Formats: sequence, structure tokens, C-alpha cells
Amino acid sequence: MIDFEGTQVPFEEGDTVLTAVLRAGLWPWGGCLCSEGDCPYCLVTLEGVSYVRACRTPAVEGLKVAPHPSGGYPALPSSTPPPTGESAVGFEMVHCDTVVIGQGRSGRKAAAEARERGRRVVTLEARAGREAVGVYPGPEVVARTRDGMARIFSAEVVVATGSVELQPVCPGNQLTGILTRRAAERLAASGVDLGRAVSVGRPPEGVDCQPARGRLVRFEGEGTVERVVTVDDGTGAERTYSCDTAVVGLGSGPRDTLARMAHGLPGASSVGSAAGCLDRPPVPEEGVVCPCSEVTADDLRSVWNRGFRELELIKRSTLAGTGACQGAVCMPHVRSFVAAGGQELPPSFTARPVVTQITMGEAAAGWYHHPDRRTALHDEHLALGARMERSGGWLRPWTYEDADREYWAVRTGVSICDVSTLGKFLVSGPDADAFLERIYPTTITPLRPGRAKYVLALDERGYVFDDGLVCREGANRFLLTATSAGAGHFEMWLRDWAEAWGMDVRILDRTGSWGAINVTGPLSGELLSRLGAADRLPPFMGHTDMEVAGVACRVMRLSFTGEISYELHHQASRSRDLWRALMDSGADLYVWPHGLEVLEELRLEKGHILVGVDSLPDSTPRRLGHGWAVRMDKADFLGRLAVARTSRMELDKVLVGLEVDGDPPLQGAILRVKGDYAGFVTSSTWSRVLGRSVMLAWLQARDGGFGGDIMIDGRPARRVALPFYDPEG
Amino acid sequence: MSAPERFERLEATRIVAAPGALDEIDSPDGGRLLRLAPDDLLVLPPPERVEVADPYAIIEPEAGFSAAWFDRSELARLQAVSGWEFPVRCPEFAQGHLAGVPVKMLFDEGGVLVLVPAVLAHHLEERLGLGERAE
Repeated sequence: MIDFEGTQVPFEEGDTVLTAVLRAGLWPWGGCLCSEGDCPYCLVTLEGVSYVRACRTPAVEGLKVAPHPSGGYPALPSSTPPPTGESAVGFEMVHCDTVVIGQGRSGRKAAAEARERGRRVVTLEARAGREAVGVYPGPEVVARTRDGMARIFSAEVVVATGSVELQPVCPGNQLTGILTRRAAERLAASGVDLGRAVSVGRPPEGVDCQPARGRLVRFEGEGTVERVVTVDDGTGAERTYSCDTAVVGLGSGPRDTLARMAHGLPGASSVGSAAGCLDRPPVPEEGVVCPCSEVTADDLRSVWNRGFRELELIKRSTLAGTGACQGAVCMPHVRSFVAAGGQELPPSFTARPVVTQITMGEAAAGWYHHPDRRTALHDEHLALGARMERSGGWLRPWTYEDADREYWAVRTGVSICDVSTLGKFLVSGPDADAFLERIYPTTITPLRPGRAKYVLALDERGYVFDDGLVCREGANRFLLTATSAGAGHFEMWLRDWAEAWGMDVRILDRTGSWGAINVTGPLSGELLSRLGAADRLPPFMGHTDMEVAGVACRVMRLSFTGEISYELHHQASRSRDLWRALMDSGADLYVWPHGLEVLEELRLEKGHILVGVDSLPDSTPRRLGHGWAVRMDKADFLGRLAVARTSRMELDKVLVGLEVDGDPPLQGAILRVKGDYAGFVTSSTWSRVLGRSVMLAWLQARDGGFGGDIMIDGRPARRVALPFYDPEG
Repeated sequence: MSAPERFERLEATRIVAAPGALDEIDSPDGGRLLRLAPDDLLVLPPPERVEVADPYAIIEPEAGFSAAWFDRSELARLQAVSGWEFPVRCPEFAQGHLAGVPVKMLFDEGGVLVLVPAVLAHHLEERLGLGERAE
């Protein structure tokens, strides 16, 4: 027995839910049932999953089934999703030479021919529980099987999905008790009692029914079809046939949604009826055309009269073809409607995956989330109680759960921070100097070995998309750094331009291979001296190679925190040794690591921008207040023309430093001047050392200047010069 | 036991140089040359000394990959989470994704050496269920 909305329904071996329910004398579905998975009428909620076709679902003992509500949509599922990282739906990836979709006569023939050619063949057949739901470039076919989902990769895809029967469009076509010809044949053969059956058009084979003469005009009845009305087009006389079941054989068209999806893909073809022509139906005059979106013939005329006279426009304006059956019912009629307007029969709607309803679990099966990267120090952070957060594609410590301790370690003692995520690139070659001169808007050639320089990266429009350092290692060899989030793009940027300019350079990304630890704070030099770096530490914006705690390091002196800082770049395989040595040797200095939460506060106090947070897609160096990082006396660099042009324009917005009393406003908080919009906050923090809230914000020009009293969240804001903290350095 | 328990960080040497110069490098005794790109070579294990006929070559210790060896009996399981088909002949070097993680794979008669960026190795371990299988 299956449980159909509380009614126990018996079933026989091989039954679908549709067959069992109809055989039991229940007929809960209005509209013309096709029993082939094309129409949207037999949709049910099955064990809590909606939009399941009863005609495609084998009846099994104890199954709980309910029809969709007659009006509106089924309720959203309330089940608990599976735990993160676990898939509720199994999947497999399959490799073969040929996929044949559909195992009717044409499909079986195509599969046999492919096997004869020595191809490895995978066949799919919805009736056998292996249903193709989408075709993608590759080609790749995604299928739903009884075991879950399958991604099938092949060289050839043969679509042999057969034909779909035309549905009637006339008054009464949503009554219950209407079947297509093939549905009637199948159901009658399964023992479903059709009562007094009347057929219109081509009659079904093996079904006892009365053929109705003439053209179908309408169905009549109260909820259930009771009469079929036809007309003799010669005399205009109507005929009425009483019935329990109406059977329509109005022709067919190719079941070609998958074929259209595959169209143009290398190795894709369609055969048999799927490649055939549409039996063009009469122009719809009355009745429901699209049952999924409840579009009537009147609706089609209405949008036509408003100027929507192309198939895709009619689809968008009425939503015909966008529902559960994806146009299987309505599209032939809408095409016929458009053609009647004096145009050729238009091609079908654009076909996009998926061809039938699948669950979110099925859609996700076989697809992996983009993996977060972990630095070599991940376990060290966890051991210190770090709370990890995603940042720029990495998992990084947000805080070690004591922000005060982290902050004051930097400002008054010594702290360490895992900055392994920074983009790191080696560039070498006879054209290395010339290459970087064109990449960056500042001078590179005068940079001496052992020295570093802050650089902006500009695109062709003169907009800032990254920043970092250039460190000269020797003649024709440099180390570049980029932001953590921007490293991947920056590598492509370098390689693309090297190739475009024909520059003789070698580029090697060291981001994953090198770890980096920033040692920062007034006692950072003391800590490093204990580990063998005494008297050899580089000057500000200098770098040198040395061993620290027995680990080979490139030590760079720079600062993002506003305190003396040394970045220790090293082989990632030694990160843990170096980290532990720093923690152990600095114990009496109260060394403590800091996470991104505190780093954000530290850099903001010092007025350092974070590209991608404080910058906008149209941020020029001048708007960012970084005009000093651009040398317009250089012959050329990426974005130079754009920078020259925009420099002559009046400055329309600028990144400024602001302070307010009280709590910091949220990122994105609106700036107002005299009640008008004047910009927004990009970064904000409560400054422990200053005792007030500081922020960076975009301020828009008004009346040619940047004056006026700024209000944020109803509070006055003071514009102040950057940096907020330690302006003397 | 044919499946490894986890990926271990690999020691290697990375050479980025003019393609012609890389063509001339001989495979070290018992070692492997993996050509990642025309101008990019990974040498396993790191040689004591390597000569490269390119004065601008970048020759660096490589610590960015983790690796694990899978017996041939494990290949079908790996293939089932791969969107590309493994090569039939051996030895062969291929680059692609396994379970959504970028990998480099060196196929040999006895099995396959899988190299994964060390920063992503934990994902591949989880997705291949290495730890669970070891238990």
C-alpha cells in the first residue's frame, strides 16, 4: 500500500504512483495527464519533497504521497539540512565515450552503433530511473539516478528523447479526466478503468473509446470532464459527446529541451523524433495555454497588443514556459500564436539546465565548495584558542579571544601575526626592471638591492586594484608582495602583461611555499636579537637574508601596525619552528599573537588603507590620497594616460579620516552634510590608544569643495589629517 | 592498507627558467622531473646541485606541496571524484582537480603520487576520507 493523502492505495509490481492512484479510482489531478513526465499536472509531494512527478515515481510499500494544493504552491520543506560537509545525495563521476539520452528505438539504435564503433557507451532512460537533467559544455551530462546524481563526461552526446504529445488548449482543459493518447494506452494497459472514453483526433490503440468527429472546441463538466464538444468546420455545427474520460491525440513535437541545451556543443547530436518537426497546433483562442504560470489565450493577446511580439518577450512578460514543465505544454501553442501574427514559426525558447525539478541536495551533489586555504600555522592558532574567520580565501585568526592583550602587546611590547597569506612573487630576467617599470606607477630602477618600496597596482583605467612592496634582491631580480585576497589575480596580471609586452622575465608565485610572520612592537628588535638577529636587522624599508632561530628567513622591515615591525619570510615547512621559537623566547616580554580584529584597529589608527575595503572600483591614487605613490615623470606605466586625464579633472570624492565621539559607526554608515548624502564609512574602529572612534570614509565634493559639517548617524564627525596615531612616526 | 592516512609536506626544488634550459636538465638518479609548465619544473627529491643554462633562472626550495602515494587499487575511487579521465599509459604526469581541489598526479605502474597545494591538503584529506579510512 501507498499512503495517498491518508488513503491506503494498493499497487502492483511495476506500478508508478500515478497508475496506482488512478487504478484505485482516485483522480486528484486536473489537466491533461501525459504520464510521460512532460506535463506539470501529476506533481506530488513525496516524503516531504515537492515537485515530484507521480508518473515517474515507482510505487513502493509505505510511500507517503500528497498532491500539490489546487491553488498556490506546496509548502517549503521544514526538514533539517544535513550537517555541513555531508551530502545527503550520493553522486558519481562517470567517464565514457558516448552518452545516449533516451532508450526508445532511436536511442537503442544509436547506442548499438556506438558500441560497434568500439565506443564506451552510457545510456540514460528516465523510465528506468536514469534521467538526464542537464547538458553542459564539455560535454557533460548531469543525470539523476536511483543512487543519487551522476556527472557523466564524454566525447559524444546523442539525444534520443523522442516526442512529446501536444496538449489541448480550449475551455475546460484544466478539468480532471483528460488524458493524452499515449497516456490512455499506457494506463488502460495497466488496468486503469477509463469508463466511457471519448477520443478527439488520433484515437488510442487498445483502448475501448468512442471517437469524436470534428475539431475540439471545449470540455465541459463540473470539476471533472463530462462532455467533449467538437465542431464541424464545414457546417459549423457543434457535437457533444458524454464521457467519463476524454482522450486527445492532437499530434506531437520533438522532446528536444536537452537537444537544444546541447546544441552547438562539440560531439552533440540528436536523433529520431527528438530531431523531428512540430505538428503545429491551431492558434490558441480560449483556455489555459500555460498551466504552470496560469497564462490564458487572452493573456497572450494582451501582451501582443502591448508590443511584446517575439517568443522570448512573450515568455518574459507572461512567464509562460517558466514553470514546472519548462514549456513542454505551452511552447508549441505560444510558437503557433506568434506565427499567426504574420511571422515564421519561431524557434523554441532558450533551453537551460535543469530540464526537470531537482532538489537542492541533488543540485549540490558532486559539487564541492571552494576550499579555504590554511597556513602552515593553522594548528598553532587553534592551540592558542584562536577563532578563525574566512578572509581573502584563507582561514585566518580573527582573535585569540583577548583583544586587549593582543592590542597592547603590539603597542607596548611585542606581538606576532601570521601573514603567510600575503601574495609573494619572484621576478627575474633581463627585462625585469623594464617590466616592473611598466607595471607600477613609481620608479623601480633606482631601487638598490636590499631596499624595498611601497607600490600601488593600477589597471589600464588608472584605478587602484592592489598594493604591496617591491624588494630588489639583485640585478634583474625582485620580490613582489600583493594583498592576500588579490594574490591570485595579481599573478595572472603579471603573466598576462609579460606575455603581451614580450618581456623576457621569469615569474614564480611563492605565496603557498613561503610562510611569513610579522614581529611587531617596540620590543620586536629585542626579541629577534635573542634569536640570532642582533646587529643585522635591516633599516626601515630594507630587507636582508639571515637565520632567525635557525630558520632561513628573508627579514623585511616595514610597518602596517604603526610600530616597528619585521616580516620574516621563510619556507612554510619551518613556520611552526619559527612561531614556537618566537613565542618561547618572548615569553618574558609577554609576547602574544594578534588576529585580524586587532590588526584592523592598528592599521586604521595609522591611516593605512586596505585595498578592496577602503578602495572602490574607481579609486584613483588621487582620490585615495595616494598621489605621492605615482611618478608622472615616468615615460609610461599601466594606467598612465588615465591618471593624466583624471588628474586634470576636478576631484569629486576623496578618502578622508574622520573621528566621532562614542562608539564607531558601522562600515557603510552614511555621511551627511546639511542633510544631504555626502559619502560613507569604509572602515571604523574604537581606538584604544586614542580613546575615540576613528574611521576612513569617502567624502563627496559639494559646491566644488569638501567643506561643511559632516554628520554620521546624527552625530557630528570631525575631519582629521592622517594618520590618527603617531603622526611623527 | 593501500590508502595513505594523510598528505605529507613535500620537499622539492622548483625551477622557473627559459623552456630550452629546462629541456636540458637530466632527471636525477631515482628522482623525478615534473614539468608544470613550459617554463616551470618541479624536481623530486631536491637535488644537491642542479645546473640550469639560464642565468636568470629562479631556483628555489619548494615547500608549497603536500603529497601522498595511492596504490593502483585506489585509482577507481579517485577517478570517481574526478571530472577528467586518468591517463591509461604510465608513466604519465597530469594536472587537474580531485574532489574540487587542484592536484598534480604522477601515474606510475604501481599507483599514483598525488601532489596538492599544502594550503589545501586538509580539504583533500577530508574529501577523500583518508583519516576515516585509516581508522
